[in-house]
Amino acid sequence: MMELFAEKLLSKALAMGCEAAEVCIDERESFRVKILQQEVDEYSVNWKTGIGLRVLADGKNGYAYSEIAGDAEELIRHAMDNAAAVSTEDVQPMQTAQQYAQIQKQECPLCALSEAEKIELAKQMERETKLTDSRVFQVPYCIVTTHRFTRTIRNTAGLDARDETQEGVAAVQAAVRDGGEVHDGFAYREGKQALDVRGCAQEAVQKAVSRIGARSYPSGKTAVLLENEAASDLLQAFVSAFCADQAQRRLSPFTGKTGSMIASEVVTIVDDPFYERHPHRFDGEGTPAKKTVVVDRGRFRTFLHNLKTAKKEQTETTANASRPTAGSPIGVGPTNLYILPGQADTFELMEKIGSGILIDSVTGLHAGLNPVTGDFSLLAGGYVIEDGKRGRAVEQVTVAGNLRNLLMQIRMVGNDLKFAMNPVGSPSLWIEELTVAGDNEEEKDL
Amino acid sequence: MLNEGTVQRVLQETLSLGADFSELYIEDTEENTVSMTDGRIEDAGYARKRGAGIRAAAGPLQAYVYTADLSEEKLLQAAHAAAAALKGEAHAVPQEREKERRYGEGNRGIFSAASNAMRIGVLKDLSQAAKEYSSEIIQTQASYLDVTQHVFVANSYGVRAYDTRPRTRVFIRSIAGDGMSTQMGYCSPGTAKGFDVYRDFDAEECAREASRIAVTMLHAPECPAMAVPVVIGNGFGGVIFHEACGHALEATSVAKDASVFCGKLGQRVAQPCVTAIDDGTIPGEWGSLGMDDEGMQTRRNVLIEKGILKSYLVDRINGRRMGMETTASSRRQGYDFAPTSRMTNTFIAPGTDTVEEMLATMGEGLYAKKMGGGSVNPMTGEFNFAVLEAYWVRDGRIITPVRGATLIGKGAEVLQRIDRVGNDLKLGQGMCGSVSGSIPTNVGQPTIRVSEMIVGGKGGVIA
Repeated sequence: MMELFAEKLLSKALAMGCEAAEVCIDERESFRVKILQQEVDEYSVNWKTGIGLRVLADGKNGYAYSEIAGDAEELIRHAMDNAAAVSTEDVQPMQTAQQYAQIQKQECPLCALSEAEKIELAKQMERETKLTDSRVFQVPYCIVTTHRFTRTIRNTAGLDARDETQEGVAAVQAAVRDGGEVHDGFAYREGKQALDVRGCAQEAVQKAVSRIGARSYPSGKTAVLLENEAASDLLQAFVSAFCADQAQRRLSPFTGKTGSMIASEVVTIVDDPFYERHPHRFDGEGTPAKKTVVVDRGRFRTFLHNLKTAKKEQTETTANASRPTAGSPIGVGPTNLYILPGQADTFELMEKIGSGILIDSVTGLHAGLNPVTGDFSLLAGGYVIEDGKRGRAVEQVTVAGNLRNLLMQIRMVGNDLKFAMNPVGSPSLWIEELTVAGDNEEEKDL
Repeated sequence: MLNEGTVQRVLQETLSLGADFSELYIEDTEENTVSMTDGRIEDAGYARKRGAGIRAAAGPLQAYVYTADLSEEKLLQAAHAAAAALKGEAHAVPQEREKERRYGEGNRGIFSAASNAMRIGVLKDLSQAAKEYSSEIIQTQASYLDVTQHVFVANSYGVRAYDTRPRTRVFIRSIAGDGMSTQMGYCSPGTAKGFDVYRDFDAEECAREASRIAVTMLHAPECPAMAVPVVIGNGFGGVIFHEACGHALEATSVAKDASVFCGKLGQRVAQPCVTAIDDGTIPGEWGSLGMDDEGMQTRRNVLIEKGILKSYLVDRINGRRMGMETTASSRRQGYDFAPTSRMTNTFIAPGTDTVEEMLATMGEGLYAKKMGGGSVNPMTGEFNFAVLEAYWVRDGRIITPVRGATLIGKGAEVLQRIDRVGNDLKLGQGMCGSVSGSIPTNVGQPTIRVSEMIVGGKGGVIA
C-alpha cells in the first residue's frame, strides 16, 4: 500500500509544481521480551511503516511525514508549505541514480530463533545471572530483542536505493546486595555474540559485585584510564563536534581546525560504514557508503559531510547524511566512527599509569556536557589505580574536562575497541589528567 | 476512531486466548515543527502518526503488540499475538461498557488556525530579542513545536475514553562568545494550550533570560569541586526531586523491588519541611492530561506529606504486583510504547523560608539558580545534574557567578538533607525519557537548600 502511495506522491508532487520530490519509506518489525522471575514480564511485537516526503520547491526543501497511505495531495501541500517557510540560501541537492556495492551483513543468529526460543534464551540469561553469585537479589532488566528494518529511498532524480538490516541484542542488569549496599551492573551482547547469554550474565554480575565497598575519591587532578565503554559513551555525546553541519553553524569546538593537530599523535579516528558491526550500503541521502579518515595521527583531516554541507564548502560528501527516521530532515551523522585501537591491554595501561583512577562508567551525558565548547562534567564510577594495579571501587565522583584537552592528552590507546551500543566506538584511553570531584577528606586508609 | 463492533471483537479475541485484561489504545497525532538559526528558518516539518497498541495481561504479566495498520484484520492479528504470549486460562466476555468519557473536547482543532507564518513570527521575536541583548551573543537558535494528540482507550473493564491533548513549546538558545570561550543559556516554556497562548507570550523576556545566562556564564570562573551546602533555585530546580526521588516512586521501579523507597510507605523519608505532589489536573500545564493512558481521569496525588511517604505513582498492571490501586499515573509517548507509571506535574509544595535567609546562613556553598538536565539510576538512587546558572557563596554572600557546575548524590540521602523550603513555588517544563518513551512533564519547586552535596566542576579556585 505504501509503495503505491509513494509512487503517487512522486508523480503528484511534480504535477503540483515541485522541481523534485523524494520518498523515504521505513518498515520495521520488532520483537522484544523482558523476563522477570522466569516469567514473561513484558512482551512487545510490532509492525510499523512510515513514509517521509521531501520536496524541492522554489529551490527549498520541505518535509512531511505520515503513517497513513491517505491523501497524497494534502501531504504534498504540507511539504510545499514547509519548503516555503525555509529562509536559508543553502542548496540541498537530491542524489541521482547510484550503484551500490554488495556488503557482508552482520550475522544475526538471534534473528533466526523462533519467538519461543528467544523467550527461553532470555529466561536462561536470568537464571545464569542469579546463579553467578549469591549476592544477586534482583535481575531488574533482562531482555532479548530483534529488529528487521527496511529502508527505501526513491526520488524523481532517478535514485532508487533499498537496504535491509537485522539486529539482535540480549541485555541484562544484575543487582547485588551486600550488607546495606546495593550495586548494579549492566552487560549486553549483540550481533554474532548475541547468543552468549552466559557470558553476558556473568559480565553484568561481575560489574555489580566489583562495586561493593565503593567510596568516593578525594577531589583533585589525576591521571585517568577511561575504559572502552565509558570512552565510547563520551565520544558519542560529542560526535556532533565532527559534523560539518554543526561546524558551519559554528557549533563545533573544531570549527576552522581542519588541517590542525586536534589530538595527540597516537589518535586516529575513522568513520567506516563497512565495519562489520553495523554495515551500511548508502547514507540517508542514498550516497554510496565510503570510508573516511577524520583524524590522522592527531591531525584533523575532515568533518563528516552530506551533499548540502559539502556543496557549501565546495567539497565532496563523505556519505554521512543522516536521516534517523523517514520523516527527519537530513542532517549529518557517523556510521561507525571509532578511534583506531593500539597494542596495550588494560593491565599494561594501568601498570604504565602507576597511580590514578580507572573510569568505566560516565553518566549524565545528555546534560553534563556542552557540545559547543567541549566542556564536560559527569558523574563517574570506576576503581582506584595504585601501584599499577586495579584497587578498590570508586563511586560518587565527577570527572570534568574539555574534549579538546582530552584528545590532546591521550598518552596511549588500548587494544580493546568497543562500541557501547553506540555508532561511536573507542578502545580504553590513558588520559594524562582530568579533574575529579569527590569528598573533601584526604584518603586515610588506601 | 473505530466502530464499537471492532473494538469488542479485538478485546474479546484477547480474553478468549487467556488474558484477564485487554486494552486497545489508538493514537492519532499531528505535529508541526519549525527551527531557526541566527534568524533564518532552516527546516520546517509536519508529521502525522497513527496506530494502535493492544495490551493483554494475565495477573501481573503483560504483552503488548502495536501496529500502524488499523484494519480489523491486523488488529485481530495483533490481539491474537499479544494473548498468545501469555499462557492463561480463557476468560469470559468483557465487562459491561461504562459510559463513554471524553476529555479535552474543547481542544479539537486548536492549532488549525496556526500557519507557518505565525509560527515563524514567534521565532523571529525570540531570535531578535536574544541577539539584541548583548554584542557578545554570537549565535541564536530557536525552535517551535505544536502537537495535537488524540487518544482513545477501550478495555475489557468497560472503559471507553477519549482525550484530545494539545501541547506547544518554544525553545531559544543563546550562545555568547568572546573569542576565547563560548557559553550557552536557554529558555524553553511549554503549555498544554493552543496557539492563542502566544498572544500574551513575552518572547522578549524569555529570550533575554537565555542571553543573560549565556553572558553571565561567559564571564564566570570555573566552579570549584567540593562537597558544600547547595541552594537550588525554583522552577526547573525541581528536576532534582524529579530525578532523585520521583523516578524511584514510580511503580515501574517499586513493583520490581528496584527502588530505594520499597516498603517505606508511612515512614519518614524527608525532613518535615518537605511535601511533594504529582498533579496531572492543573489546567493548561505542560504535564497535564484529561486522562492517563489507561483511560483513568487524572488526579492530584500527594507523594510525600511533611516528610512522610504517602503514595507511589501506580499504573494498573504494576498495581496488581503491588496490591495497589492505580493512581491514574499510566503514561506512554504514543502507540509504539506500552504504558507504565510516570510523572505528570511533579513538585515540592511551597514552605515558608526565604532565599535571602537561606543564602545568608549557608556559609560557603553553591547557589544553583537555574538547573540544566540530569539523570538517575533508580536501582541505586545515584543521580547527576548539570547547573545552567550558578553562583559561589561565601560568608552568606554571593561573590561570583561560576560555570561548569554539576551536582551528584543519592536521592534518598539528599531528600533527608533538605533543610529549607522557600515560599516561591514555580513550575518548569521538560521532556522525561523512560521505558514508555519521551513524555512532557513539569518539574517544580520553591527555592530549597540541601545541607551538603558534591559539586563537580573543573576545579576552579575562587579567590
